[in-house]
Amino acid sequence: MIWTYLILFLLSALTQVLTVLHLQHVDNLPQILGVDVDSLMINGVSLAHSFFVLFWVIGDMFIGALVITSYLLLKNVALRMFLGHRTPGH
Amino acid sequence: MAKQKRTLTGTFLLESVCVLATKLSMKYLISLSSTVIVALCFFSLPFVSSAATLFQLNSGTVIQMIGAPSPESTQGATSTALFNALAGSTLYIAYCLNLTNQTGSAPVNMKGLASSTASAPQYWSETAYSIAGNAGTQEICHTSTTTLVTSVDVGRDYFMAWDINGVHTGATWDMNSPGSYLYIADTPIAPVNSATHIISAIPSDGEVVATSTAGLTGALINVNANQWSEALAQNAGNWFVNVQVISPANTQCGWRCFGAFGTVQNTYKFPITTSGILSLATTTDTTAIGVYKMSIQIVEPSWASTYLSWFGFSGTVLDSTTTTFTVSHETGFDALNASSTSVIDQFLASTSPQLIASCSSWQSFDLADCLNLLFIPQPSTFSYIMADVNGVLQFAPWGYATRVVSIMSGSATSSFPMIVAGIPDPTDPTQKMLWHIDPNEMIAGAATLNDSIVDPVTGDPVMPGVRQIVDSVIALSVMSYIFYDLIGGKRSTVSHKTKLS
Repeated sequence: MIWTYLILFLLSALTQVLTVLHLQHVDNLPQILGVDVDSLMINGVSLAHSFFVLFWVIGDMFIGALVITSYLLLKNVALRMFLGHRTPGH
Repeated sequence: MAKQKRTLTGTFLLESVCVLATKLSMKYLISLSSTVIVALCFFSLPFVSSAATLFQLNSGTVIQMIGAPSPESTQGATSTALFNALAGSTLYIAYCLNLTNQTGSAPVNMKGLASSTASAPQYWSETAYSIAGNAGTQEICHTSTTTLVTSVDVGRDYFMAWDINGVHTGATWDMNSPGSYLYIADTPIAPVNSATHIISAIPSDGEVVATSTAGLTGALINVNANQWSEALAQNAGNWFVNVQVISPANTQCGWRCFGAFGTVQNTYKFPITTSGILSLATTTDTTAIGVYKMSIQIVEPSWASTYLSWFGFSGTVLDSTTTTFTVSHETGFDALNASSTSVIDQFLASTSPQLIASCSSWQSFDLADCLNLLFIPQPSTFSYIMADVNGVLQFAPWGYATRVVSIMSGSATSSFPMIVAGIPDPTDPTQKMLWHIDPNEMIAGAATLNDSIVDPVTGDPVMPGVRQIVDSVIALSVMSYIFYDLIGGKRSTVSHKTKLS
């Protein structure tokens, strides 16, 4: 509980600092060259969802690819952390 | 120095995509961005297949009320806070009401969450369910899906109204029949079986219990009110439940017996003194380790069985079942684990902070709770922290990444755009005509076609089975790739240098 209160204190302090810095909450992504990136991403993701729901074989393969990619990245990051320049292929 | 590059072999799509992604990330991205990608991948995974759930009411939870409703009763056991939190949720409702002794011929309206005044709107979106007036005995059972349209003040209004004749005058029914019940759940409710039957044994069939000198044995039964009251009027004796407990097979008799014999340890006769869902159980010595058998019967006696039972007359068996339960020792580790974690479990289950109650008062001082307070945060405190964390993550500039993750994890789907193709008009080649192709209609047709493929024997659709097979192949491929990589079959997944000279 003590470290819980400590985290609460740090978070409230961080919030105060961010308020002093006049940082704003990001509710929507900005427009770039007149293109509404936020709407574009939402539409794209919802279309991708539709695609993956309909063509579930591709969707499941995509998830499999995500798993393998995550595994490889984690493995390489871990190797670099522990072995540094002695990492094979470095 | 020669640089030997490993070429991507195999045609496996997943492997190619992942190895390419890895190479790109390792060559062009720094470790920090790689970590971000990893985090994004892992954070996005749960959202791909996540489904919306009703978080206020845990899935599968059933609010069950059993008892005798009176007209416009509050049904007491409801919680104002719970139903206020459920406003706007879809609920599944099943109720059964036994009505007797009608006078008059007016209908009976079953209104959910009606206000105390007849003109006020009901709280459930479902219209009132009613039956035409009928003399004699009626049992109304109804299962529905409805939406709680607004919050409820149970203290002021009524949770469930059994509205007689709409204006509470005219015809009257005896509403105090005790066989009535009401179920509310956030998942579909199976049709309620209101017949007199054995719901389950106590302990339930197949349950494993610890050795005890005061183990509960008995049965959970449902007694149909009409059937019971009519039987009471015709017969001399009460219904009863026979429970026979047969102890584990005796294997200790050695040479004196062949095989294993179970002996009747206890026989209980529970009289049925009311209707509805009844839990009838008593303590039994269950210290012998092994498989116990239980034989349960609901018996309706006759005058013959009541007065001539010694001649072998028995009553009518309305329902019977045979179940088993196993008595087993708790291991030393189980007992130690349960005793050492019970305080923490209780602490986590409590919703109110216990700092003041446990540590600053001499009367209720609890050293264990105080120690828990030092190391184990309570869920309520965690929720405060997470709310703050969510707010912090929305600040610029990292708020852009939060927004991207939020969009990526959305589960909304949209329809595909219409495809419009211009072709020369056959009747007038100088003009063009437009062909509109709607992919959504094509997909809907294909889905219907897929669903129409059924197993010729059972009639079940085959696509769910096909999907399981395909998913299994993909999952096995992923696991095989990772395992193959782990055991060094590929040596390395990134290009590496080999000294040739």
